[in-house]
Amino acid sequence: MGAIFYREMKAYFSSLLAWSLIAAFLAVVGFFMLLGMMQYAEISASAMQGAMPYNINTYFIPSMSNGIGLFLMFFMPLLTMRIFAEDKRSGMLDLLFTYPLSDWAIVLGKFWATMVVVALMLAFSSLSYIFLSVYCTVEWPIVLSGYLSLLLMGASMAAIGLFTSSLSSSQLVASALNYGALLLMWLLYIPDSRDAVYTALFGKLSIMSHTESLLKGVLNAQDIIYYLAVTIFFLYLTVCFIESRKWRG
Amino acid sequence: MEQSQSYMIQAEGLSKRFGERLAVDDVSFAIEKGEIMGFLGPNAAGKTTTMKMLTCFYPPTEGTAKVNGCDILEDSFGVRRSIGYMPENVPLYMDMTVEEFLNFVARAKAMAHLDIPRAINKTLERCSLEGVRDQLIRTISRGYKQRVGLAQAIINEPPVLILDEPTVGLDPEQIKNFRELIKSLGGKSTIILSTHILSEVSLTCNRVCIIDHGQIIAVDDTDNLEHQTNVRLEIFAPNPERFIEAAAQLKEVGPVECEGQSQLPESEHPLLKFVVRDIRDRVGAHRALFSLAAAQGWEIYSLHDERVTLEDAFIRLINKHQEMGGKK
Repeated sequence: MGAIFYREMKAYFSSLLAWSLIAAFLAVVGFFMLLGMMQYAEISASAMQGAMPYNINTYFIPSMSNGIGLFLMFFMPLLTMRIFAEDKRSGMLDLLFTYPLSDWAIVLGKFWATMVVVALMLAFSSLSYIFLSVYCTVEWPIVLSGYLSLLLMGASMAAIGLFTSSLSSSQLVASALNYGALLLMWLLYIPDSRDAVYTALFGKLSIMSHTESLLKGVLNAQDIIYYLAVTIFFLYLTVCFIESRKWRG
Repeated sequence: MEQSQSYMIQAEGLSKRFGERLAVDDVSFAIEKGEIMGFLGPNAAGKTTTMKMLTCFYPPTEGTAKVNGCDILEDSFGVRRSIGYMPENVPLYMDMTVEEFLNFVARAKAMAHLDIPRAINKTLERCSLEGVRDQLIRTISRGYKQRVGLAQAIINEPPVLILDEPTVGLDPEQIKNFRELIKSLGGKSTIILSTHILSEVSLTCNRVCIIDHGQIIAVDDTDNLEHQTNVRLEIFAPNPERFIEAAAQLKEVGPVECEGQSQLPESEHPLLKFVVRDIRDRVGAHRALFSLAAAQGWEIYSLHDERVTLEDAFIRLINKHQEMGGKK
């Protein structure tokens, strides 16, 4: 696993891939935070007149984390689309299979390298909160819980991305499948749905519906288990798929 | 049991089916330690598929094989630790330097961390790659890439090397160097090398295994295949059938083929042209043919030896095989 991790870190960071994605992500998140801050300032100014206390920790921070999650969804496929497709196209994957490496070691090595990039993206974006804390009291547990939720969501998305990338030797096909899968999983979550049956069946499957309480700083075992389960399930599917070379004609 | 241990690679009845197509059909062979075995065959003969089964890339549909004492079905890790594989078209990580790539390979092959720097230096030296060690693989020439492909196979000095068309795409000078390199690895390592270039086999391999349509059609020492002689014989005899019948009784000569006949006014019998194949003992064969002619009262018009090249042997074996309709 260590060798694959080393290789993928080189691939992410010696090319511009990781850096340019991190930079673009931070630009988007930064601008989003700026807009959010301006809106918040406006609302709190008008709230002052109505003497209704608006708290930055219950209003601003959760909606920021929510937004970061949404942007993550758009950046993750770009990060993971090459991870298997490139090796499949070059034939390198075939060579890896003849090294004494288990299929799990290959998949996990690639997964952890992707998670390092995700963690860096999130870590850099948290700088905004440090600036924010200069001007007001930030409740760090809420911020941290939000980041835990984002990291878990990032892990699920990385696992889904690994799986879709393993399906094709074309990076474009892989990313198309990945966007399709993520957007579908996102749409499953319709917060205002009045249809109880629908909500019961699909609402809980959505990748976004499990962030709500985490974003407000409530650590809910159900949500954490959901993300871990999605991650493990898709990593397992990836292993199954690359193992299928052994029995497919 | 004792016998099987002296073999480094032993395949028994390997078959691989892709849907309807039988790519490898009941292939068995055994390779002794230190041998360089050439897999020779036209394109799509099943060479790569056989090699991929030996590397545990995919399992055979039927049959099994042992590599360095490990079964490819039961002990895939044992097999993969024992082999160095250089695939066709040599895939490499283009965005790494030569040294980084070898470092990655050494770690993937679970070499001890402390041994890695020394192993890299040694391998770079053996493959004459010191000059490009810090260059990105993308930027080095085809010949160097090919050498990096070999370097990744030999870095952990595995007892078995499986090289799939290792010299494809190299210029003549590079091919020569590459063959020297492969030969220098023989003796210590057991090597399987696939190729469709005949001269490559006679220059580098001790033994050759000719494969066509997924079947082995001949396995022999390279010397044996090459040092056979054909005799071209022109003889006045009543008809080809009589001669072939009589020649079949001679143990010194192999199969006889008639290549034509002509009627000369000087003789009552037609002049028959034969090629007598697969002769190991030339003097004995000549003697036998002369005695036969004398006994029957036929006159020999001309007789000369013709060395069989590997090309001839190969083409004849392939043709014979195809005439038989790939048997089974």
